Amino acid sequence: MDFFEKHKRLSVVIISVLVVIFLMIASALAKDKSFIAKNVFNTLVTPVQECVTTVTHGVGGFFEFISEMKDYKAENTRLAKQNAELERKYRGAQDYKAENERLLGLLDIKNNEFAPMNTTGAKIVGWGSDNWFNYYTIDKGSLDGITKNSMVVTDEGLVGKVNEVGLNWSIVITIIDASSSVGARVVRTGDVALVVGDNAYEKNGLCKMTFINKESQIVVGDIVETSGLGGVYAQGIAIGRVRDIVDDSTGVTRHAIIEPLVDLRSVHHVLVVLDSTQNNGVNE
Amino acid sequence: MKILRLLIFTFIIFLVQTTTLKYFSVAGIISNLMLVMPLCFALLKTEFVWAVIYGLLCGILLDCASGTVFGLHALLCTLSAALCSFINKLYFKGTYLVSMLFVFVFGLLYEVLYYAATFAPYYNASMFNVLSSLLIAAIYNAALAPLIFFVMKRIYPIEED
Repeated sequence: MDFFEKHKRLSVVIISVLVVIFLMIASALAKDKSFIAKNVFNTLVTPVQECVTTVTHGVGGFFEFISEMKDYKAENTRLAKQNAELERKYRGAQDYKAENERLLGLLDIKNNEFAPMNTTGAKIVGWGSDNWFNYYTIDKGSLDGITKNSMVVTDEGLVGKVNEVGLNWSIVITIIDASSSVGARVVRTGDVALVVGDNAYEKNGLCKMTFINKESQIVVGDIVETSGLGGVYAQGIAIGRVRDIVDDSTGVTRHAIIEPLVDLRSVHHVLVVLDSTQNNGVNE
Repeated sequence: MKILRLLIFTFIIFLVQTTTLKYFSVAGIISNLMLVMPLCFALLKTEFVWAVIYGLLCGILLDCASGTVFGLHALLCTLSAALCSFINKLYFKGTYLVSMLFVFVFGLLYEVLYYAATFAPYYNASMFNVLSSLLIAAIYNAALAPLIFFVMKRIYPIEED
């Protein structure tokens, strides 16, 4: 006791550090489950964050509307032209669709697309509070059937995967996060590569496709989708578009800068695929 | 009563940090208000013990919202608040400008240690990106320090001896 009284400040720091170390060990022992204190806290706070996010999204949207008003007329003209062109193509596509269905019926092929998977909608209620990683907090968790590594998408494409699950909250690591790696395939050429997050591009909302062979015919504008290899992401989910192609220092391979089809800085609602880790047929 | 005000203010800042601050990013960098808070609290001439405990609390809140290892923010916030409180008694003169300097230095130290513990061992990043991220974060924290310090002084007034 004399020691604590003589060295009060040092004692306080030592006790605090021991408390933190205890928390770290307890958290590590929880393994794949979320640490109980964190789970309880986030379970209580997530509804509050949802309210705040709803308000700030509305306010932010209003100011965005004001600042973008001057561009609306030009955008409207461009969209009207595009709409007319798309309607023409749609009428042609309807004929192809009917023919496709007839042929599929003949071959008795099951539809293996994304739509029949079991999904749940979720809202993003929080964003990462540090500057090195890119993750969201969503308002759904284990009570809604979400598990670790569940795939997260929007109707535009891939967002990322669930990294941590609580009762009514989950943390989603996006594809531009440095820890993310997604097995990918270039739709046009069939080249298989890896889409990874990179800190150099993350601040601009971009990521990188690595291990592209120098002989690959990939070009700017090519669409990249998930290859289904790796056991986490289902095959055929759109990831992004090639923005630039850069030769690596080795001279043997290249890497491409990928612009995700989903604007990860402004997305607010996502879809969590509940059985994505079971539908690939490939073990991790 | 002032402890209750402080806790409510802390929770509000936590909500702002996790929901709203992304709209105010600078070059993709956001401020770490949950670090600025315990540093400003430590600069209020509060007792060392309370400064450390408050640092621990803010760090734990950050850990709850974080996707990285639980406890790291708590550890760094606690040590930053302890060091800041210790040096404060020796050098701080109570001006807002000096509070900015303290928050800049300790904020930079915090970001360097956090980067070294979580990012550097596993991922590559160019030195330019790392340095620019660290500096922008530290400057952003320091820029918000006078505001937080001002509010802290009103919420948690310290009786002068």
